[in-house]
Amino acid sequence: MHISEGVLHPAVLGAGIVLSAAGLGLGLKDLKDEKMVKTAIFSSAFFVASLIHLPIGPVSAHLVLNGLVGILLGWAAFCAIGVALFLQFVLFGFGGVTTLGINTFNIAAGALAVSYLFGPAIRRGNGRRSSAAAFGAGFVAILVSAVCLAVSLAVSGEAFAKTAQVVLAAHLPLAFIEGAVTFFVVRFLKKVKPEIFLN
Amino acid sequence: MKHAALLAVMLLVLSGTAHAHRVNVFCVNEGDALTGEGYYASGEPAIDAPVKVYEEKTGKLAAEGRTDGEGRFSIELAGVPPKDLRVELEAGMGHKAVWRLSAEASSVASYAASSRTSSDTRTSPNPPASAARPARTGGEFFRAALGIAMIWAVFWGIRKVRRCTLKTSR
Repeated sequence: MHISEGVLHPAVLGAGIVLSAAGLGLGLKDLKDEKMVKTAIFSSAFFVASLIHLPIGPVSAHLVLNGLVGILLGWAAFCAIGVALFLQFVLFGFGGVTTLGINTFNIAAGALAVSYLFGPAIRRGNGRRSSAAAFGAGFVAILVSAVCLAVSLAVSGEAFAKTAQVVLAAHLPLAFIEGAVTFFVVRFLKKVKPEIFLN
Repeated sequence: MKHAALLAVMLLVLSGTAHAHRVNVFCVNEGDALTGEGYYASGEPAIDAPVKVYEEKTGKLAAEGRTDGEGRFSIELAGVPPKDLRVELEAGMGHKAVWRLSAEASSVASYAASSRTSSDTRTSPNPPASAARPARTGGEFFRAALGIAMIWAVFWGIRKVRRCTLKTSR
């Protein structure tokens, strides 16, 4: 999920910076004072989640949790993910400084998509309906991000069909795991702190 | 909110034993060939990944190869002039690692290759692949904790700045 330095075309890097800057702007607007603590918590969770390595598929994969971040934070997910990605780069060397923009956009796009697709069902629904939506959120967020990843690689010169196949094949098992993790976390939060979904 | 904090702490604890995601490459010039190894930060080998050797200055592709089932590779250097070389390993999906070899390293190696002397002339300034693997220590745990502290500092800072600007605008 973290694209390294020197893989992408400069135009893609530029587009990533512009898009994620716009996203961060809207995210800051959405980041109300009451939402600050929640955002910091899920930014931290996202930050450490990528250290949890999952031995699946041909390449090494890790938890992303962007679906969870998306349904809880909405547009503020851009802030949470941007800050966490920057620190992952500084402290763990994931990704790169020039790819920070496009990586933020790719991962936040998945988060944002599920916040619109599954957010209402999770907020209003209870029991089975919100649990099913939670699984969907974790699952779809990874797929959306994987498609963004494939597109950014394809625009930079790799053949799209092949790249998309490889990327999706690698992320599909991860999507199921993310779905399950999001399912359990949302069910737990619904039980102990349902108001967390509301603001 | 306490429960969400608990979740973050649980993830942090888990991460102490779990693994990170980043690809690395190390290689040594053994004279007639460039041998090395590609692996993820988790220690897992990067299998069947293309390895390309470029001349640093011109960016010309000098030689290429692939890693085997254990992430190792060996690339023939016959005909490659002793120049600064850049070794790139691509693990796919945006993962890439770079290792640089200086001209001295390549020329010492090519000397060794032409004279076939004993193993001490084969030494290169770069550490051997097996010795260069970083050990996974508590450092990562510390950095994870540091990162979380910094995240909180950032959001606290945003809040503080916003409060100040609100006051001045009133």
